[in-house]
Amino acid sequence: MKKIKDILTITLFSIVVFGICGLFFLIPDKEVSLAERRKLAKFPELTVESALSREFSGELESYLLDHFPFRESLRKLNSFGRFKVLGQKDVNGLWVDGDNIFKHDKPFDENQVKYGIGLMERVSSMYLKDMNVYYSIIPDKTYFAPENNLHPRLEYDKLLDMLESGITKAQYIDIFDTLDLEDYYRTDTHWSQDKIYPTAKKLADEMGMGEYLLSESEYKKNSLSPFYGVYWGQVALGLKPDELHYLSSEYTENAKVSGVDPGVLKENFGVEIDTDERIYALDRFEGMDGYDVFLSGMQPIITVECENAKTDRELVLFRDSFGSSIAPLFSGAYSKITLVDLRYVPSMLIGEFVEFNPNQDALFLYSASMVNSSMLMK
Amino acid sequence: MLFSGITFMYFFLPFAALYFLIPKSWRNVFLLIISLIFYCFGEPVYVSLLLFSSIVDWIHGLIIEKFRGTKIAKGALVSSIVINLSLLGFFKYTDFFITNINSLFSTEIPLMNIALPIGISFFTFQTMSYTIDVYRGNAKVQPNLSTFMTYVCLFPQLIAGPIVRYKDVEKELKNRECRIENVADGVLRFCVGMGKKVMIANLLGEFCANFAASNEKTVLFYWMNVIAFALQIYFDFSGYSDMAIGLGKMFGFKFPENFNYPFISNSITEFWRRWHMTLGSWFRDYVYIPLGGNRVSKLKWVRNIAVVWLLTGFWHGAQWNFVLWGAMFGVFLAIEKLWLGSFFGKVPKAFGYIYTLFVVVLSFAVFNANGLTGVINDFKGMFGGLDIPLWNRDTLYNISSYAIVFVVAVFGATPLPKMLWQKYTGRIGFLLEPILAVAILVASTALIINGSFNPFLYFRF
Repeated sequence: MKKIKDILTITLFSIVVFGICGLFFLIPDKEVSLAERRKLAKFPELTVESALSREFSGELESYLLDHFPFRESLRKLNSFGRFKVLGQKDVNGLWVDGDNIFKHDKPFDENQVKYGIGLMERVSSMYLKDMNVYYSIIPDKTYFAPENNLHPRLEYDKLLDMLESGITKAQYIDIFDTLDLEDYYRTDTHWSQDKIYPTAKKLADEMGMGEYLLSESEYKKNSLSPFYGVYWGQVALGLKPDELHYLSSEYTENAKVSGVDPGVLKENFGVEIDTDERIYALDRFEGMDGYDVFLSGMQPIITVECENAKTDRELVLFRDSFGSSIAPLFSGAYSKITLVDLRYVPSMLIGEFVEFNPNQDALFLYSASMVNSSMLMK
Repeated sequence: MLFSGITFMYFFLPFAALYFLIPKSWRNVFLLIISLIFYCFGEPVYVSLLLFSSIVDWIHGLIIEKFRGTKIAKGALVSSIVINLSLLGFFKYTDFFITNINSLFSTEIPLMNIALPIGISFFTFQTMSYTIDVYRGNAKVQPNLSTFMTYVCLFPQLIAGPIVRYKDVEKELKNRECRIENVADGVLRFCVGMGKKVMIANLLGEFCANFAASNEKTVLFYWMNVIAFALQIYFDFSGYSDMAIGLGKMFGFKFPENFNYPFISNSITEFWRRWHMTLGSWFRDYVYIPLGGNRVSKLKWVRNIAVVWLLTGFWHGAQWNFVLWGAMFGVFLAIEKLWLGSFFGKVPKAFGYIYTLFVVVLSFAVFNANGLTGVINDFKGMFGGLDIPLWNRDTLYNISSYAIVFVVAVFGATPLPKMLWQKYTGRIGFLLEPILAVAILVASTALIINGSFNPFLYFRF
């Protein structure tokens, strides 16, 4: 009996250990992990310096972790074990309610918010003097998450109070009452464009442009699927993916989109990005992040021009990624929309790329988590 | 390289398995080579120190043997101890002494920022034990350098123990069998150790990390953190020892046990007979007993206890809180021997358990603190000396998130799981063990994949 047990032990152990070892050599390396939205580590270079500094050993371990056979299955096993067996409330800061995935809010950070207020006030003083300037905060998905749990939440009262008392050069537009949990993707942090027309309308109304907005019925609703939101891969539970929806109209289809010249981007901001000429860059749906469909994803500065817009007014939108999907809903009302992402373009340099004039409205539109991490902006 | 890393488990181990194909006469050399590769991976520069320490003590052993009974032999013993302690002192304690000198004398001597070679506290103690045992006649000198170096550098116990004495493995170095039962038992032990380290210790470590990162600490959070840390260090260290013992067994070595369910102890005296046993016995045999042990006057006996426990604390780290930790145990051990021991004989056993757990948990609060200032702050946090609430939402969140891990850890720290398994699973359990062990290996791998680098706690030694 003991002998059978011993043979079974050695056999099973050997299958796992030698099997995995063998598979490492047989399975070709992948470049990226779509589930984790990142490039996977490459085999490290072995030099005398890297060996002596322990750099090689550390990088080798990272490489092996990244290219481990059945990595995704093991990540699913890890998530299943933690959530279902150990009853943990979150894995890597992510938690699930039904088939909705949420991410823990960072605790309210007064210094970060203060910085954000200072930045917005400075930009307003430098560039937006003769313009109508507004700001609005997008509640993160967790704001609408069920209350009956102990998950950490951002103190919105403190955040909004601080903004209200700190921002003197912009008028606040409250959009909280236009949103609900169903307006956000289940597996992603972002809102779904087909659900945020009321939000766009409220913003436009407050900016005096509501009457020029296309009505909701004038849009055609389109879908792309499956959409694996940013949380889907991180939580690794194999939940049902979303469908990505986008709204098209004659304005969105005829708009001209342009970004900063790639050479200039690389020289000034150290980034290599290209910009699709369409509002909806449908080719990018199959890329690392399906949400990049909206205005080509991460862009320091991008403009949307509508020749036959209902007014000749322009909008300068200081934004984070949420702005990419709401901006198209303003096309048709504004002849030109310039989107500026202060995470990638320093505020001191905006003037070199954007022309400001009194015919423009300016809107600071950030998610609460962005304001709470304002030091990401320059 | 860590036992609980991908490089070790799925590359080094398969390569090390070539051992079983090599002729017996070459196996020690093979073990030595792969052990040096193992060490080089993490310490490419200081492998020279390991080699130096091994060669120096091998030579000292030969001198002691050649000049046995003379002053030269004694001189060689002293030289070995001085060299080993100097190495340890230089690499581990230089900046500690500089900091304290600067503090005391208001000098500004710059720190040397010397990197601590991995495992130096373990292998210097091992090589010292060899020369002392050869001098005492408790071990035969090893005339073959490569065999001696195989003993010192043997990868299963090289970087984090157990502290293996030469006489423990003397016979096995010369002649050992490769039996399927030993390999299988070693595999089971290794997998259990892996589970303890990765599935329990690392998760408890997450709880402690959440505590450290929290801006909303509470009294309850302080207590749960120190309990988590006590359990974490137990499962981390005993898990690593299990892996070391298991690996040793696979290659035909029987290493001494290092832990024996310390949390079921009824006194601090018993605790230290169950916790890090190889370190305790090292200090007993090479410091306490040579000083006279308890066969001296009471005053000298107190001195002996103080020396051993201050050194034990100091061995653990170059900070005053470690010295305080050791001193704390010295005090309780003395109190138990003088008075408390007889008191616990007259009261229900539960008192002893509660007292021991309480003292041990408090001791780990000292151990885990960031210097003496950290000790004061942490104790204030635990006993309501800081202006913090008893509990809050953040604390309850973390406790509820790790509740099952705590329960498993507390249960797993007792002999109950093993007893219940053996009692209720019978013959089926006997055959299920291999499947369970490999399931632990796979589950641990899944946890490692999810995380990243997960260093073993005792690495700082």
